[in-house]
Amino acid sequence: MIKMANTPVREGASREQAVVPSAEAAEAAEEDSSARRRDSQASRCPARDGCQPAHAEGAWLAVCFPMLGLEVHFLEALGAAEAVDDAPTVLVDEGRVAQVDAGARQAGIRIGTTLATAHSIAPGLRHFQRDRNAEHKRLEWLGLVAYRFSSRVSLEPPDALHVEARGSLRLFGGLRALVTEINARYRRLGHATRIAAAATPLAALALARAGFDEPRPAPHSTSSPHPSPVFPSLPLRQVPLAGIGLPPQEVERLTNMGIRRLGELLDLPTRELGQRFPSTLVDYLHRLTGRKADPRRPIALPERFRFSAHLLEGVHSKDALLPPMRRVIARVATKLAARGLGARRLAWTFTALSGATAAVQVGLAEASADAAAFLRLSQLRLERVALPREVMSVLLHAELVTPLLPPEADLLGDLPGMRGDGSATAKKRAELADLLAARLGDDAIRTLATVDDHRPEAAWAATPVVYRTLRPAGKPADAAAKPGARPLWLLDPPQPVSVRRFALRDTLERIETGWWDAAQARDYHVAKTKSHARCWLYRDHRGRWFLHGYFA
Amino acid sequence: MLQALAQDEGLRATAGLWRARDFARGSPAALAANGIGTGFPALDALLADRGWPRAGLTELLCPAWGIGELRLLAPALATVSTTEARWIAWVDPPFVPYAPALAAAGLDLATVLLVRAEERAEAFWALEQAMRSGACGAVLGWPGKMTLAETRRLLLAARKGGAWGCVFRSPAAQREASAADLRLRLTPSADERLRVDLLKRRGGWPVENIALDVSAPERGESP
Repeated sequence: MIKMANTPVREGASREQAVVPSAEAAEAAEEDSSARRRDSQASRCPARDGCQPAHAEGAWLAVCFPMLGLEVHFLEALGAAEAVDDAPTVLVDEGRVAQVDAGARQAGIRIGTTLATAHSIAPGLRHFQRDRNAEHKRLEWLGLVAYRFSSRVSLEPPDALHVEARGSLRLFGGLRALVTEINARYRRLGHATRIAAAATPLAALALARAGFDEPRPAPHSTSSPHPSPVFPSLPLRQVPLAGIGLPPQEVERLTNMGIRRLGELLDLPTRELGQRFPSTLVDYLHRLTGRKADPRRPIALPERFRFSAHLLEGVHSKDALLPPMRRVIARVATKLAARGLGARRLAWTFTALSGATAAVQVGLAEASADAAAFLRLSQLRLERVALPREVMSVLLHAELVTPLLPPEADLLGDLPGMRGDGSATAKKRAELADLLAARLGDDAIRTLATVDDHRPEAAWAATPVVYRTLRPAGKPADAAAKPGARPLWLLDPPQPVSVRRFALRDTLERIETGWWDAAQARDYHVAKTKSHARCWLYRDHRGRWFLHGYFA
Repeated sequence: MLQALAQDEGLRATAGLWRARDFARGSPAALAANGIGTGFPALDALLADRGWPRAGLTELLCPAWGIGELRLLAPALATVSTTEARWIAWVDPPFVPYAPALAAAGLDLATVLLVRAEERAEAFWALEQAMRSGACGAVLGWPGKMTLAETRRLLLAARKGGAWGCVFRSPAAQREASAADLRLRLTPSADERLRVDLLKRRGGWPVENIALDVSAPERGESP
């Protein structure tokens, strides 16, 4: 009855986060012609069905930690329980400023300034020496954290990592939801991120790294024509060459030739470029545009969390499978827990004597190593699937393994603007979601969102559930509409009716169903039935009547 | 209607009459109204907690869809959705709860949990789990026919999870016993008002014929 479309949630929660809006970035990288880019504006989210750009399927995400050097020091200070005041702070590398925090930036200190100059600009300045070892260690750990989002994570030292998003889009409900969740996760751990998506790893990285030292606009800056993108989302061709990871001497030579942006570089004939520059540059461009494959070596967890049990004789009933399942769960959970890790997905494989197999996947909202929860959820999910007869072996593979975060690891507590519910309620929400999804199916639970579309049936979407972050309390942003103008119950699809059954009240409004079929205007009426139900009726352009909702 | 109200008023004025409600009021903790304000002062005044029971079961006997049954709940749902970090679960509703209208009624859509079930048994299971979990501030259900034992299970689940459980049933259920804390019968009328009969309420006799103007609830009454 209820349509469950798979549309990303509008980015309400991430308004003040540093997210490069990824759909457009992917668009720009995919087909880098300016004409195509003009189209991308128009084709954004026309309806809830077509919202996920098809080429986002191959999306690579680059997650950059622009402040990693400073954050490593801050985290150390927090760990040692030293007081961290809000004095302007800079990171110093070989006598020059390498990273600035918001306070130092406000004081006017720029990257590249000598330390002496910086101190003379801001007398209260605090500085840390760059510790590349600590940064790399932290980056490796951040890579492990990213395992909760994808099993293919690769490091891009010194300050970034790649996440192959293709396999995770469905689990997280689309690219935008995934990016929002990655961003929120790292913010809770005390790290600012810039995230970009593109069809190739290097394009994503260039987009994410572009414009690091540009001043951030105020979170709710009204001067920007597009309210949602916090950072200007550059088309790939507009990305400046400096700071995207090319060798500095080559950037300098190119700059001397008057070439400052990627687009200008891509326009140069490859052969001449190859004669004048090292082959690594041409190679970079080929990998950037996807002309050359760019395989990434995923960081590997030291171990696999995979156990199986072989049965002495074929098992026919699901009940009889419980003891072996309990055994493998105990082994997986023990091994996970011993390493401080948890899994977000349990992949079961049941193999029958005949060789037939059945795969059953159980997803978890939060990483867990809880054997009882594993068994309960697996059991519920198992009730919904048919297993082959005579199961001879049971295999459990714990996937999306990620460090279990103790409550105190959420250093910053709740994000600003999030309800201060602590983790207890969030845990209960995650448990309920797991339970319902295990028994009713992953698609059975959804949350609602409004979609900016004037067609009533397209103005809503059922979207994946937000587990951790509920939006700030207070009046929701969508409350602009007048109460009572739209019915609380919607019939989907509208139901053809005979108008004689209704007492028409007044014509509410005329709604065009789409710019491409202007002829198909609908006239909406409020009508009453004999039992005094208030209905939302419309007459289409052919004079047929439909019941579209109830003012319940 | 007036007769019933007048009777109630008359009883209230009688000195020395013990009323269950006074007993509840005796403790300081109970002095503050602890229900979820309905947004309709006339209704709040008749309810034991000065609002919908926060951890209990409410039954709405509803003869047809679209008579104002959701507008009756909307102010309280808006309160729950903007003051609690818990979900408002809609377990297998008969139609699509329309997001733009919910938002216009003041609900934070991110707190809406829409649960779809294929069978009645699954829907009832989901309803009970949602009430019991502690993850939901309010749980709305359309379980169809229920036995007394089933209403008791839902009541216990709502108590345990601290959820405002709210089930919609057919008026025929009036003749059947129910464990719900609160039973309301809704009747539409020609003048856009919703007639509410309190068939069962804690700390009070049944009250009939409360006319509520659900088209314009008085907003801003949060506990």
